[in-house]
Amino acid sequence: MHKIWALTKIMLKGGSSSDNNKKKSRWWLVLLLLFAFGSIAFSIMFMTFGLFDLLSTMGAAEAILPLAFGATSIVIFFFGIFYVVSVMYHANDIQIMLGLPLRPYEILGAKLMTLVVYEYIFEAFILLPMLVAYGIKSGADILFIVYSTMLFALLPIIGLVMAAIIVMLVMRFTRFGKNKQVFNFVGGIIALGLAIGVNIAIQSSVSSMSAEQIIALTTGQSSLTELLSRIFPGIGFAANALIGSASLTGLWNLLLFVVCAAAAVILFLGLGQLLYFKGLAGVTEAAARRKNLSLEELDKSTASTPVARAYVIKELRLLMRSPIAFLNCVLINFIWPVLILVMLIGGGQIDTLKPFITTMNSGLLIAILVGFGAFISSANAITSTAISREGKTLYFTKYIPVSMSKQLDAKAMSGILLSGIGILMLAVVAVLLGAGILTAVIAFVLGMVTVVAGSYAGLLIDAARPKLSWMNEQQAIKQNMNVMLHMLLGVLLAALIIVPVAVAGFAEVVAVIYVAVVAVVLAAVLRQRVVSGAAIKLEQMDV
Amino acid sequence: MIELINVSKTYGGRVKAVDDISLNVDSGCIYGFLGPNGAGKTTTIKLITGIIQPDSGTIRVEGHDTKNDALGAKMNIGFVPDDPNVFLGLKGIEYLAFMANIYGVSAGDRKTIIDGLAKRFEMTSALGDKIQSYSHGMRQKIVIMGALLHQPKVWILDEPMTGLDPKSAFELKTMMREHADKGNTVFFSTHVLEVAEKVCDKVAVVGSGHILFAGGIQEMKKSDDSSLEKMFLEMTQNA
Repeated sequence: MHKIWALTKIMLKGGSSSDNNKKKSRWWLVLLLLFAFGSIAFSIMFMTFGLFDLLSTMGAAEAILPLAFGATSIVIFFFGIFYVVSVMYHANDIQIMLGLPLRPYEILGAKLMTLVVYEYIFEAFILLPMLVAYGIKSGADILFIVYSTMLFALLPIIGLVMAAIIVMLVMRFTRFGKNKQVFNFVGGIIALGLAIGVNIAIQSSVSSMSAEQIIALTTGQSSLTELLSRIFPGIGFAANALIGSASLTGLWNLLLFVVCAAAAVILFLGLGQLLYFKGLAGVTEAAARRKNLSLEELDKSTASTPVARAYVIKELRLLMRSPIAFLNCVLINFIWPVLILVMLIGGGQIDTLKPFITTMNSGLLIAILVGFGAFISSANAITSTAISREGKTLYFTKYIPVSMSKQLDAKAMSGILLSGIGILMLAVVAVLLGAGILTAVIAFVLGMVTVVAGSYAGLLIDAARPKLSWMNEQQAIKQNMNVMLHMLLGVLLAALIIVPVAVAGFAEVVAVIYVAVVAVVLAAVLRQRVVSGAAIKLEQMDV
Repeated sequence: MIELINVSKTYGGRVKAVDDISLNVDSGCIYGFLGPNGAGKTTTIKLITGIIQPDSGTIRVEGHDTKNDALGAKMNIGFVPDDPNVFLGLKGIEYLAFMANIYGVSAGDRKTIIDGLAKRFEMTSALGDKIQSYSHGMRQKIVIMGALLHQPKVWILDEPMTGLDPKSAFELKTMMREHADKGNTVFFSTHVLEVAEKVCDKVAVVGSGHILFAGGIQEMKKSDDSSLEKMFLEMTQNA
């Protein structure tokens, strides 16, 4: 058992950043994440308060508990599928572990424990606030708290084992998931789609749902709760353990749940020994054809291109082809405008918004669109990780015969082009919502100037303190404080553009001139700072 | 030709990685750069290629001062780093085309050169695949191909044989010889003394940031019956 625990600790450490110099910035990150997740947890808690009051009128407040365990299990199961693939099949530690004198069940046990710990994060902001709210409302005793803690610790096992069995079967008998890159692309897009879908579904249904519908959904034989209990065995025991925590029934149900979880672990270890190790064969980083290029392909691939263009194309290709970069830098640009449109249409607010936008001072509308554009270009992590993404190969930028300022211009251009598509989509959405064509065109043009400013601002931030020491690109992009700083700067930039226009109530022409002057001056100043200050700093940096 | 004149480099204000070294690497010869781990080999190579700047001293590549005419110096260098894991998301051919664009290789020349190098290194069928799918040795080969595309006068290679299969290692050594015989410069670092002994015309031994020896292989061995390994160990032991 101690080997399993030791392995788990190593696996958990491997997944987090190992950059000791950045402890301070990681604390900031933790605080920011706590704030973000905390707000979700609080809203779930308050929703549960409301639901408790509503169900209490029917004498069915207890229905919250199976709902809490069921909803959490669903989330654990879906995210579990992706986690299982990445922790059990795609992690780099597997090859090392297979060479160590470990028994199969020790590797499997450590992998399962690692997965369970990851899932605690989801539990912390779904299950925990629901249990806390229920506990407060129902006047929980000490046993409720003890049982809750145990259930919290054990709940992920069942959902995870179900996900793991499916994944192990698929990986053992099919090619799906063997190509890390393809899986990450497809998985990332599906996860993003699911997140948006759930968001829209909640937006459009919960707000318009009647009390009767909510009760029907949570109580009774054909309810959602009942369905979840049937899908995930043991949920009924978990709920009954808390409902009857004051009596022996509670303890009995808790024991039954522990037995369920233990059975799941045994099933996982048993099936894992049969399926897991054989399924590991053939997992590759990327597909390879190993086929000679045709003459046409060779001609096309080797066509001569000016240096600046070649550099921008290289940047774009790398952004598009790395799953992490694609999702966080490229796709995110297109999500914002689509999200706004879908939410407005889904929420049926488009008709109420249209007259508002048509009659709005077009100067203010332009300022809002340009401000939102500034935010999009700051939120996409393209330029704010442009140097960090180079990592240990930053030396490449220093030995090629291309000046650093030219290279930084090319990096900025990759951000400008991709953010530009986002701005264009935003302008189209504005027209669909009733803005005039001329207004949209002006907003697009000024938005592009702001994107230039925003993109160079990102480079300036990243050049000041690039995160070059990372094991995988995820650490360079998702665990990089520069992204957060750039986003904050984007909010400030948006405020600088929108607030004066809104507060002073500038006339249309004055508003356009104001926005244009701010955008052009910022773009010019920030570019100058990059090609002179940041370029020299990078040239002199020891790598 | 590479000239280093009184070059020093300190990291973080404390660790003196290169301490007042002077070295002349003549054209027409293969120059081996030997030394134990942490002796200052990679730092010296980084200084010559412009990856880091010296605290003091002058470096010239084919007469171009790396400080005042950095781009001119870089255009004359073909550099193979010790880590071949660059641009894994690009296909082999895309990487080579990018390097050709960066170094201004004409459209006609690049196709002939790529074709020739791919055949020599047996990489023809891998060019259409992403570098991510390559083995370590294949990555090393594509980086070598990228470095030689613009037919630079000066080759600088940091541990170039690491990971290469015997055939490719042989090809590279042959190419190094051909290149030097045409009056160009080949400067490479290695840990493998047998390689240095067989390939190099001259060697420099570096230890604790100082040049301990610079000259011909025979000169270093002192006599025919003493081994290069023995002399190397003697020199670096007290450095």
